[in-house]
Amino acid sequence: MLHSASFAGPLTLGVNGTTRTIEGVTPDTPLLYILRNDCELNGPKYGCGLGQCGACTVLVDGQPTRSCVVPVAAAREREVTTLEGLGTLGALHPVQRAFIDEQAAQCGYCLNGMIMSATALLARNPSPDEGAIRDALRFNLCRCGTHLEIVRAVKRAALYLQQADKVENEQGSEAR
Amino acid sequence: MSEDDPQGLALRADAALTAMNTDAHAQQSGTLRRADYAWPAQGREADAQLAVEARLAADGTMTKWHYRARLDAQAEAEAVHAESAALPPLLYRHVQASIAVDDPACAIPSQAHAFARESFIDEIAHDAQRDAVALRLDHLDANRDAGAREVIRMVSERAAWGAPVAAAAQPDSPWVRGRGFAFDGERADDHAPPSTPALDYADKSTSAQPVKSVKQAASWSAWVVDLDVNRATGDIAVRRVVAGQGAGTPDQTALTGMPAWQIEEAIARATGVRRLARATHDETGSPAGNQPSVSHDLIDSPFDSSIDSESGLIQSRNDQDENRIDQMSAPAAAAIANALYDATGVRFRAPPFDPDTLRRAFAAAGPAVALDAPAAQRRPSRWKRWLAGGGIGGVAGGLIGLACSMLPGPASIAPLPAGANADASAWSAAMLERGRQIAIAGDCAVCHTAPGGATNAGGFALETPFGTVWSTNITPDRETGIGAWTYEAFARAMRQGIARDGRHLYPAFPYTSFARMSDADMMSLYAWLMSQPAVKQAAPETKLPFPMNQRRLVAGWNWLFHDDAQYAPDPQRSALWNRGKYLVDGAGHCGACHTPRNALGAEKGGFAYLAGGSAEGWDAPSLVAAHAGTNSKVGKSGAPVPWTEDALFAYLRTGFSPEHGVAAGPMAPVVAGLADLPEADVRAIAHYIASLSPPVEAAAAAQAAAARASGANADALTTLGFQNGQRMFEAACAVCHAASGGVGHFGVRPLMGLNTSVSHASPDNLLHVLMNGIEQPATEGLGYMPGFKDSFDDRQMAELASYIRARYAPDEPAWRDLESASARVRAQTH
Repeated sequence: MLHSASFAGPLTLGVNGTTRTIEGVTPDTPLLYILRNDCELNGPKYGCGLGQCGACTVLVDGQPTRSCVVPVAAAREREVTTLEGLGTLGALHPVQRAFIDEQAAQCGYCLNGMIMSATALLARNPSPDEGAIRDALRFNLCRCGTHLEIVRAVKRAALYLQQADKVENEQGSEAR
Repeated sequence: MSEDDPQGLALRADAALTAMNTDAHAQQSGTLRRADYAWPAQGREADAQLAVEARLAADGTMTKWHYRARLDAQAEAEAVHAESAALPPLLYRHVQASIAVDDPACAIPSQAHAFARESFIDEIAHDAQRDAVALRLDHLDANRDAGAREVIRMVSERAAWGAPVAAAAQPDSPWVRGRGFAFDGERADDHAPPSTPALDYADKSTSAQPVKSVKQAASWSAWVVDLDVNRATGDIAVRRVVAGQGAGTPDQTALTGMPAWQIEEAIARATGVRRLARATHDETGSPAGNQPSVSHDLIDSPFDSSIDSESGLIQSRNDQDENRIDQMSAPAAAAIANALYDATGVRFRAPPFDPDTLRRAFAAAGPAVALDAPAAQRRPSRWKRWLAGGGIGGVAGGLIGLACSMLPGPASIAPLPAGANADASAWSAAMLERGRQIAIAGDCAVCHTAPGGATNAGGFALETPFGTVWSTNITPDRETGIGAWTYEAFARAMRQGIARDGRHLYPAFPYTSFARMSDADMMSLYAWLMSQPAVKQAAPETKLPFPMNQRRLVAGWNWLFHDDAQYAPDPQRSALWNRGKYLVDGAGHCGACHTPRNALGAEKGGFAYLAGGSAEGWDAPSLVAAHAGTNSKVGKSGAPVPWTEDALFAYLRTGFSPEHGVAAGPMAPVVAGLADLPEADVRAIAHYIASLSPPVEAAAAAQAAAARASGANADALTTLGFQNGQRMFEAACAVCHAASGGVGHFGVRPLMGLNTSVSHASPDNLLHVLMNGIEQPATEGLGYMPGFKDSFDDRQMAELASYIRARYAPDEPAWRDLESASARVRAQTH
């Protein structure tokens, strides 16, 4: 009935700083399928398929998004960031480093969502207290029970990010 | 004035001109037509006398043109009015032309020449029974005068020139109605001698005069004036002015209008009566909101001008403005004179057209202008028609319909001849753009496009209480669409619900609203539809059960419920308000969903107007706070927070209002369409809708929103049997809809406590969204919602919905029978 969302032809997406063109996509395909199957980015996980567990979380224009319930059409002309886009093996993102340092994973299936949600939280609140962390991660389900480690990891990540900022600022003032 | 002394003037004809006449006589045959005009002194030395003579071919085309102008008294004064001293330009092309201006002081204003020329061509058009606009186009070259032709075309289209003029209100009234056209302008190269042969400029002082040296691009202006004139008193009421100007660049989608005050001034000078000009109700809001309108209504009652930015302006005049009004009053005077002739058959050959002059002229014309206008058919009021129909709906109304079905039905209108298919080149770009916007405002494509099908090719199933009505193909395909429809057939279908072949259309097609549209809008919509790609696709045939399959019964239905009058603006209200009401009642057909219908499927009137209806299984909430939801204890409109004009605007523009929720279901494509309309039009709709309810302070609305946002105490509910629903809400919904904001999420975040669907009397809208989610948001950026119909069964849906209701609309009564409601809504899911 609504025609604005239908389009024909290949679909172009911005993913992790690169532009991907995917052929033969119906616009209502969940974004998660495109990321995992076509872009071969397996950081985001398929969990509940209903947008409830958070394992599929990616950032769309910096906003955490449950990619299993958002059609790929929603990501047109927007920038998608997956877990792979945060850091590299050689240079981990501070949030990733903090989660390793705190050993916050048991099975690890939820960690993609935890890390992506934590990254978004720290972007808007660089020094959250425990209440804010719990509230932000409330809707990411973990069945193993590493919740305490995860909260500690986010606190550590905040510390890392603040240190990185400090170093950057000092380097900036030296350069000046 | 000049009617008295044409003979005298003829006797004083210039010798040179007479000589030429005889010369021409020898070469050419055809009728000779002559008329004399006058332009009053208006502070100048003397009246100007203007004589036009033309030789006409059989079809009214002028082959030779002789023009002579002089002042009444030979005033040898110095040239004080140098600015207006340019020679009268030859606007139209003739085989031969001569111009003689005996005016050494250059005291004849240029608008006098335009008045004579434009009155004369109207006279010969009437004589030859030609359309006055078409005859003008015959005298303009398709290539060299393309700009002039385009301006004429755009203005006449905008005024729906050619559509029959509606009769004045009363059949025995002395008031009669007429419309007139006039055109003026100058070519970019007017300072060079015109290339037309046989020129004889008697004005010897041309070279000495300060000829207007700064000539920019060509500038044309065209006027269409609609007026009412009283044959007894000579009073004129100019009702509407459509005036556009510009260089006439083809493919230009907008026509430049004129400021209201200039229109007022020009009309006041020509008629001696000052009336207030303001944008007509079918004037599209300009994107910037401050461009002058092309079409103006003139009204005599003052109204609150603070809302209307245009007419509220008090202009300080300077010489340039004066000059501008002078130039504009040229087509104004001629258009009024032509309209007066159209209305009364009396020709006025000199302004001003004040009541005294007119009354004397009408008296002199005698019984020919007597009060014998054809009696307009008066319809009994709707109330009387109800009484005649038995007034109790159902059976009695059906009997009337049955009676109607025995009478001969409406006639078929002949198809456009094969090969005469209308195409885009037949209309100006401005007309097509206007038609496109009207198609959007009218949401044609929403009902006339099948899911996944070609736009407007029909085949959409419209569920009605009477059965499924399939929408038809309205692309210009000759066999399966409307390609063979003339404008007449199209307008009849839109206003009376009768197809070209005479078949009655079911009122599922909202011709009851479209009838309000103006002729200009109707024509541009026709133009746009006919210029779209033709799609050959036969729509499924609508088969309603007996007796609804008797389409002739619709004639009776129409007699009872349908009023095909066009929208009549309320002069007491602002232009913005009238624009809003016109869009809401006309093309927008908001009432089709938002007004409750009676047992026969007709929209109810009176207090029920826009008081809430239904569409495709969804509840369409009331748009009027005062009379809606009277059995509800809070929020009289069913909305937990009263709507402000700004909230309405935001909702219609973006599909989301934080205090009310998201446009979903059948409203989503409406908002998606509105996004393509000028902001001013959406503002007008919001302004009008808000005016239907008591005014709401923004602060009061914000306070109500704050109070409602968090809902009832959650802890208290867990002890009342809502645990299951609460768990489902926390697991499935809270990630996006939690008041705390949760994880932060792509898209908007409607809070349940402020959502209209939660406090609505019926659970249907909420259940629709719970089942199907939001797959296609009205505008980008609203975000998506997954549907839960495959995750929750009817019992779970009922538990979830009753928790949401108890928690977030604690003052509303609980919904009953939610399980069966859930099953019903589930079954409606396509």
